Amino acid sequence: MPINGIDAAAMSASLEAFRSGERPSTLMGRLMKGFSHDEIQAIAAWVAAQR
Amino acid sequence: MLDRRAMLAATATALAAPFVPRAGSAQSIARVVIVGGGFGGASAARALRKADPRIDVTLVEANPVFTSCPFSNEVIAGLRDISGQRFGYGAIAESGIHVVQSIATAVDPVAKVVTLDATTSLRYDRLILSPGIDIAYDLMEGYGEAAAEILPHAWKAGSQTTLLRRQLEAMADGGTVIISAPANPYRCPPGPYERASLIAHYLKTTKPKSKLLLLDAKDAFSKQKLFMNAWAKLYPGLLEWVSLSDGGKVIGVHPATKTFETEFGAHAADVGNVIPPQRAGKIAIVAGVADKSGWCPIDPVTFESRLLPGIHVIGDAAIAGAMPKSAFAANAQAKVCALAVSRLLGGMPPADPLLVNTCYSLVAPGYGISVAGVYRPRNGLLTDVEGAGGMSPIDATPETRATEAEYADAWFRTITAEAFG
Repeated sequence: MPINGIDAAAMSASLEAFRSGERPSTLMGRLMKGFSHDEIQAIAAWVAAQR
Repeated sequence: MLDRRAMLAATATALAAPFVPRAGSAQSIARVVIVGGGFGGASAARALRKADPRIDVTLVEANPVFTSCPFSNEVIAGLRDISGQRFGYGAIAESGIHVVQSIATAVDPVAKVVTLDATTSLRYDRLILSPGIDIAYDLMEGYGEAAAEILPHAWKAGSQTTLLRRQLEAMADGGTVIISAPANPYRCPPGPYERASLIAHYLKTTKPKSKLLLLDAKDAFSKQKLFMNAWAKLYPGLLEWVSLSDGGKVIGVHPATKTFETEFGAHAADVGNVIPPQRAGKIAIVAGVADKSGWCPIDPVTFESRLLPGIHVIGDAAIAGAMPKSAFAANAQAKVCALAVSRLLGGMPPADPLLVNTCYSLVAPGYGISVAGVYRPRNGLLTDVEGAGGMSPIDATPETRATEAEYADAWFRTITAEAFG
């Protein structure tokens, strides 16, 4: 599924949930553990701006 | 010191007839040459174009079509056609990047000129080398280009890949396949083990009396627990891994008899695959950006060479600390390097990067495993961000393994689209 343009708030909530393990995943949890809250916000803002 | 404007003017006047003509360079603020059109170089060209369209970007690549190593193990195992590995440079050229089909033969780091052939040179303000690997034939007794037609390495995808496939198809049931895996570092750390897995799958399903011997110059390897766990379940008695300590290190080969020589004795193969020692691609050595290890030390923020200023090295050729030599890593490094180059050319300081790598491997169709990492520069090296990354769980369900196999497919589609358009 393309993720470009997904709302930033929804995306950062998903990424935070991957990081905490609240949302189960194969890979995303492992990756998100390497990112801070601010970095997750930045990713979400960037993805939202892509078309 | 000349200011940038004066320097660019000087560069422009120095351009004479023998240089490759270029369109649209009138408005360009700087000239970047990228050597090597694999995952690293192609991604860097596109990322640079996106970061600042005013930069004049030239991509030098020897081949008219790129053949991808990722997923080529599936071709060897008969699970995929080689045509699915091929990607052209049409979309890259259409995006305004000058694609030059040629081989870079020399670099003058002082004059900032790349020589292609007797009549063609390219001036650059910054040079990005993404030359991948060269096979270090000199480090394996008895091996060479002619020997590789009998005992293929298949570690650069293309005719070597299909040669190994044909040999496996021609082998009678009950034959012995031998793969030799090199010491670190080398391209694609889990690659030899994925290859052994998928060849074992082919043998199990079509030639079940056959054996596969994996002779290794190491005692430990990437995703080892996951691979060995899967092998015990899927390929018992068929696939045998021989570690360094058990005499697995191959010190030479005899192509005429397809024999692999170790310090503990010789093993004869019906089909032999030598995954040989490697070093940075030749232009990196020629340019003088490789150290005595054969690989290229870089600044982890910009990927600029530690040995020669103005030259950046990305992908397999670079010494990237904790990052493995993978297509994923080359793509991530390309984007970081492109952004750094664009900022440096614009007179801005480069930003501190955070990089990601994921390596998927298939141990059988529908059975995927992965290892991931997150990296940032620390004390001049790319280091693992602690607490992040790691392998797929050892006790994952078959559904998870199937999901990871699907994600591997999706990753391939995504990265090839990003690199080649």
